[in-house]
Amino acid sequence: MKKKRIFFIIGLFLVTIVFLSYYVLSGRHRNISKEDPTITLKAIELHNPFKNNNSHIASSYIDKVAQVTGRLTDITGKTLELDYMIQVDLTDSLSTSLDMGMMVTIKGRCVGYDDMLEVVKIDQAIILLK
Amino acid sequence: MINSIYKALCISITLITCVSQNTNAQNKYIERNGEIRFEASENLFEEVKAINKSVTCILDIETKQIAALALIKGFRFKNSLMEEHFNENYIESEKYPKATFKGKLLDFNYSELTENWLELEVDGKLQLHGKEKQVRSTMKFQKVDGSVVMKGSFIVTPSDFEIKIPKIVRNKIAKEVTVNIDFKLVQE
Repeated sequence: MKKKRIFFIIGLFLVTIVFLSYYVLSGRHRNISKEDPTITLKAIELHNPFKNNNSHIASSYIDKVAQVTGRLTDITGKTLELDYMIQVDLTDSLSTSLDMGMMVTIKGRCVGYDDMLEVVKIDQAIILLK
Repeated sequence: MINSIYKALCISITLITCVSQNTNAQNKYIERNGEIRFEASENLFEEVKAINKSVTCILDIETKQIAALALIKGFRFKNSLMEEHFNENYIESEKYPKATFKGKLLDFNYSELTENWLELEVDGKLQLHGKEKQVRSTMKFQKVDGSVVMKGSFIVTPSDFEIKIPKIVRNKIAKEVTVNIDFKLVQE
């Protein structure tokens, strides 16, 4: 009887390990659109530390979920540009039409600074307000 | 008299700089959402492959200079754990956040470009993980609606950039990494 119980416990333990390791190893991605933003700022506030080489602040923004507000200066496919300094790659195609010059707020992951175009890149983004 | 000559000189200098800047801009073709895929999969093991869909590339059709920039954090893997290892242990993206290429298109002539694919050599320096490597490869080019399409691939190895792969995963990652490029450059 005792033996049976020990086997049962060991079995349960093994099954838990298998499920846990499967969960970890299957490597699910974060869902940026469901995460709350860690930083909320204007386009220029996000851009400045990168542009001015303030690497301490700039690197703290990378990989963070950022909520950014700025004036729409370009739309190409699923890519928006805010104030000529933030490039936003949306997860989904635009469902509504946006007008140039309007204020837009987006949420996405801050990928880093492109010093060739001098823009901060954001991916996996969604539009929050317009 | 001297005053008017001076004025004329000033105006002409301003005009010349304006015009020359203008032609410079016209020569520039830019891609903001270029694709780079790389694959280092080994048979029987989980695929090691990633894609970056927001690569920047600038081509000057006059000087034939080409430059590209990919943010390392922009490379997405199917498996988030693999992505994390790639960033933290192999490429060290916090220290080296980008990969750049600076080079030249050999025998490139914009006026010869048509809708038919044309193969050309690209030669330049690839910088990654704080190291630099000369890369020379054949890419194919095409002109579509006035934009320049560029596709091709080349091979690099992790050791080229002193990227150390730990022993336990060494046989799961190919020694040679194939890098595929797909850019559509639009006139600025």
